[in-house]
Amino acid sequence: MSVLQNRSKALTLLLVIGLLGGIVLHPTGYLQPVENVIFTVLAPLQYSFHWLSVRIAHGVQTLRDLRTLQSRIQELQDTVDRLMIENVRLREAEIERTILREQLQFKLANPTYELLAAEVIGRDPSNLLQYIIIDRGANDGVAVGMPVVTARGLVGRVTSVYPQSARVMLLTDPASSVNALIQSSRATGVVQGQGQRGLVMRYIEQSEQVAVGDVVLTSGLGGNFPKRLVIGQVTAVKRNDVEMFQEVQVQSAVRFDRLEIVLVVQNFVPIDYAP
Amino acid sequence: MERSAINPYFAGALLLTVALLQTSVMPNFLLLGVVPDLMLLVIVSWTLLQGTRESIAWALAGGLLLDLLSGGPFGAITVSLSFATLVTGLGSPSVFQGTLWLPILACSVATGIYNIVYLLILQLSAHPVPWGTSLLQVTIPSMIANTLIMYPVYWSVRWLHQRIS
Repeated sequence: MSVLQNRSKALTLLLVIGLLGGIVLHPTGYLQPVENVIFTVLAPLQYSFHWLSVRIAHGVQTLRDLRTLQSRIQELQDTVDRLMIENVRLREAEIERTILREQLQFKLANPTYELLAAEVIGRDPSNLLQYIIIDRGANDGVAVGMPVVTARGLVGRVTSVYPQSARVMLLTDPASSVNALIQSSRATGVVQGQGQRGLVMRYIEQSEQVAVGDVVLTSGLGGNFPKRLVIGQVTAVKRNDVEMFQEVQVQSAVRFDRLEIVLVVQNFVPIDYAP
Repeated sequence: MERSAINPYFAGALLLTVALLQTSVMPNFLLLGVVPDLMLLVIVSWTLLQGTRESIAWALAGGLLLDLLSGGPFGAITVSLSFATLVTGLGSPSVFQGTLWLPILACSVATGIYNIVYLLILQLSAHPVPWGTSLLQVTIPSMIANTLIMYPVYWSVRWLHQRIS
């Protein structure tokens, strides 16, 4: 018993001496090496305890949050849904704005044309024909034969008109043919639709110079279309000495399968359809 | 006499919906560069489930609706659809009856016939027909595209058939 008491006293005395020594020596810096050793040993332990305590605290917090988690998930899901709808709406508005800006630029560049914007509401049920249905008809002043364009070029012409809608034959329809000319050489020919394969310009005289990249415009011959509407660009030239004419492949800038808004040229009266 | 499985007014409304879907919605979902022929698939499915007699009426009604919405010669789709339905109806009670292959086989044959008859009608009505392009770039891709969505359409029509029968 007395041995234990003596040990305890000795330990207390040692600690008091250590405390006093620390108080005196710490400000002088003599304890720095001892402190360094102690901190080197303690730092990893400190880190481990800190890491563990943070995890435990997070776990406790998560358990607390579980009660409200379900409602928060629902709340966030609602926000995501709302933002997604908003995002889609804004993206659609942006696309529409871009299309309309292009159309407006076309209208400003061609002030002589009286243009009526129309939305594409349907397509021909057969893959073998290339027609679209637009949401403007006789009530809006649309008439058979009127050319239809976009800012990217000629689209086709109106073939049937109903009170509130009209059918437009696209340039790519095999029955479509447009008198055209090559912008640089002024060589004339006829641009015909080839369905899925796009456009071909035929009946160009062999003596005419045509090169890949040349721009093809409407010639206005025949009176079916106004002059100088862009049809497309030459992508390939097929010349055969035994043939009377050369023919070229024409690539239109218009995406015929992605048409959304088109412009009907209302003040052009085609000669074919004039009363 | 074969009993009609469906109320004619309901059938009319259904076909009108299919026609509108085909001309307004399906063009936004191109498969292999072509628009799947939804009306054809619905009618072929009905033929496999209900037989030729009633399906011919469907083909006539559905075809007329599509002809109204088409820029092609009036009646061309109706005649093509009817031909396709007739051949599907004649061929369906074959060795493939009841097998999983039947809808696919019927669909591809019907699509081929539908397109070829339509091209012939276009040719007869003096419409320019680029045969090579039409067969290689429209008919064959259409056969594949229609086959790809035949099962969903067939199961939907079969579900409807079971509900109303």
